[in-house]
Amino acid sequence: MSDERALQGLGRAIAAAQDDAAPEPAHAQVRARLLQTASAPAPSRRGTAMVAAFVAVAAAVLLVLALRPRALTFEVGDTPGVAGQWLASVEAPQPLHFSDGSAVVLAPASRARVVQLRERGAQLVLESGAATASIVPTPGASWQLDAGPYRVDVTGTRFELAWEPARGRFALALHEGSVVVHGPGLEQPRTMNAGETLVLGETLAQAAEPAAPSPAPTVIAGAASEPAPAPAIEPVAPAPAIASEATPRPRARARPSAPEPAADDWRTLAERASYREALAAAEAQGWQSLCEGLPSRELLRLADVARFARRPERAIEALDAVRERFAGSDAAAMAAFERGRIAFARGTAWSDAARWFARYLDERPQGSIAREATGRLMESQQRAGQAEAASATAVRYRARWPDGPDRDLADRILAEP
Amino acid sequence: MATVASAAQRSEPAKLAFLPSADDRVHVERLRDGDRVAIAALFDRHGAAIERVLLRVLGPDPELPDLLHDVFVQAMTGIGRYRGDAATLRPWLLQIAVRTARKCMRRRATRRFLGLRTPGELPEIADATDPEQQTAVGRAQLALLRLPADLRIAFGLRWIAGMQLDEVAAACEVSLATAKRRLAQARARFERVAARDPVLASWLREVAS
Repeated sequence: MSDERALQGLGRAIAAAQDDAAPEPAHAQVRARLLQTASAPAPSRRGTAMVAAFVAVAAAVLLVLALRPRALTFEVGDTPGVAGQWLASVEAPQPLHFSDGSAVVLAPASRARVVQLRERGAQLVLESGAATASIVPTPGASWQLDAGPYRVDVTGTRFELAWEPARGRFALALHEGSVVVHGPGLEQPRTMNAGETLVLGETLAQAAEPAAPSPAPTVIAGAASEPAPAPAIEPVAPAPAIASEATPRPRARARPSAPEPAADDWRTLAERASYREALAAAEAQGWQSLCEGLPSRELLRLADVARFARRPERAIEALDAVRERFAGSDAAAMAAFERGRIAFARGTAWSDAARWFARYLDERPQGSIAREATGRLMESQQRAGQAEAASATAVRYRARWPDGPDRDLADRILAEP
Repeated sequence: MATVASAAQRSEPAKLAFLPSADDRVHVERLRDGDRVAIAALFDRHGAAIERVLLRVLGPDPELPDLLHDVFVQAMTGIGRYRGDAATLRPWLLQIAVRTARKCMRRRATRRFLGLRTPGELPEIADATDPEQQTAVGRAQLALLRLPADLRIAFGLRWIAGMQLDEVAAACEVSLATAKRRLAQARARFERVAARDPVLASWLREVAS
C-alpha cells in the first residue's frame, strides 16, 4: 500500500510535526546539569552496592505492582487510547471500546476525554456534544461521566448523554439500569431509573440576554420497556407518557415560529453532519452578512460548523463576530472559550490558548464550563512553559474542584520542582 | 488535499553528516585523562544532533532534556570503553542515544503493563479543527507507538530522521541484514494499521501519487 516514496513523505511530515511540537531546546540547562554531574565525585564501591540494593528493592516493588489488579484499557477505533487525551468526533460517530466490554460512542461533533482509567471503570468528560454509553455491569464497577457542572455516577447501564455548554443544557436518557446525577438544579443527587429522561440547565436559550438562573429539572418517565428518547442536541425529543414530577418544562414555552429551512440551508446540512457542505452553503449565502446578522447562538453554531469543516479561520471570524456584537453576554464568553479551544487544538499556540481561557474565566468566573476552562488554562500554561501561572491555576483548581477531572494534572504541576 | 504532498515535503530530513574535528580528539583525550568537564565541549558540538535523533525516534517528549543528559553522562562514564577515534565519535554517541531511547520505550511499556501513566507519552490525537494532514500525521504517530521498540527505532531513524540503511544499522548496532529485516517488519506492521485507518490510508495514497 505505502511505497518507499509514501513512507519518505510520511516521515518528512512527521518530522515537521515533531519540530512544530517539540519543546523548546533546553541546551543551556542540560549543559549546566552535565557540568554539575561531571563535577560530582565518581560513584564509590559502596555507592554501587547501595545501587544494587536499591535495584533489588525496586524489583520487588515492581513484582508486587505487576501482581496487583490492572486498570482498564481502551481503544479509539483501532488505536490504543490514552487517558488524558482529547478526542473529537467530526462527521462520524467515534467509538471507544473498553477492555471490560463497555463502550462509549461519541456522536458526531462531540468532544470528550477519558480522564482516568480504573480497575473497574473509568472517568470521562464530555466537553460538548453527545455520547451513548453501554457500561457492562460488574461487581464494584465505578464509572463516572462529567458533563460541564454535572456528574453521572454509573455502575452498569445503557444511556445517552448530551451536553451543550453554549446553552448550559444537560440531557440524559436512561435505557437500562440506573444512574445517579449530581449538579446544579438538583437539590440532592438524583437516582434515575430505566426509561427516564432528565433535562437540566438551558441558561443560554437567548444568548444575548443576561444569564437566567437554572430552571428546575425536567424528569420524564417512560415505560421501562419502551426506548427512552435520545437526548438529541436540538431540541430534546418529544416527551413520552407521564412526567414523574410536576415541574414546569422549560422548553414548553412559546417560541416564535420560524420558517422551515430549505434542504440546502447551512443549518439543515449541519444537522446532517455535512459540515463542509454546510460551510459552503453559508459562504454562498453571504458569510459576512451572516456574521453581521445572525443571533449569537446561531453564530456560535456557525463557528462549530466551520471548525468541523476544518476551517478554523472561518470559525475564528464567526467567534470574533460574537465577541464584537454581543460583548458582555454569555455567548461572548463562550466565544472566548472556543477561541481558546481552537488555539489549544493547534498544538503550538499554548500562550494564545491560555489567554482565551483566562478571558472566559474573567468574564464568567462561575460559568457553566468554568471547571473545563480552568483545566484547559492550567494545561495551556504548563505547555507554554508558564510554570508559575500554571501552579497558581493548579492551586485554584484543587481548591475549587478537589475531585475534578483535571485534579491529577493539578497535582503533577504542583509536584514539579 | 492538493497541498498535502507539498506540505509533507517542506521539512527535509535532518542530515546527520558530521565532519570530525581535531577538537573532538582533544576532548576525548581529556575525558580519558579524567577531565570530566570536557563533556560540556562534546555536548556543544554534538548535543543538537543527538537531541534531533531522540526527537525523531521518540517524538516530542517532555523527557527529551533528561534523555539527552543521560546520553552524555553515559558517554562521559563510558569513555574508557570507547576505542574509536574522532571520526567515529558521532556514530558512537548515536548508538548511546538509540540505546537510551530503547530503554525509555521499554520502561514505558513496563509502566503501561503495570497500569501506570506517563504524562505526555503519546502525541495528542488530532483535533477536529486540524487539517487533514495533521490528522493523518497524528494517526501515523499513534500507529508507530504500537510497534515494538526495535522496530519503532528503525522506522524513526530510516524514514523520519532520513538516515541511510547502513547508518541505521550502525546506530542500532546490528548487521545490515538485521536492519533490513527490522525495517521490513516495521513497514509491514505499520501498513497493517494504516490499512484499517481510512484517513491515514487515503493520505498515504496521496503522498505516494
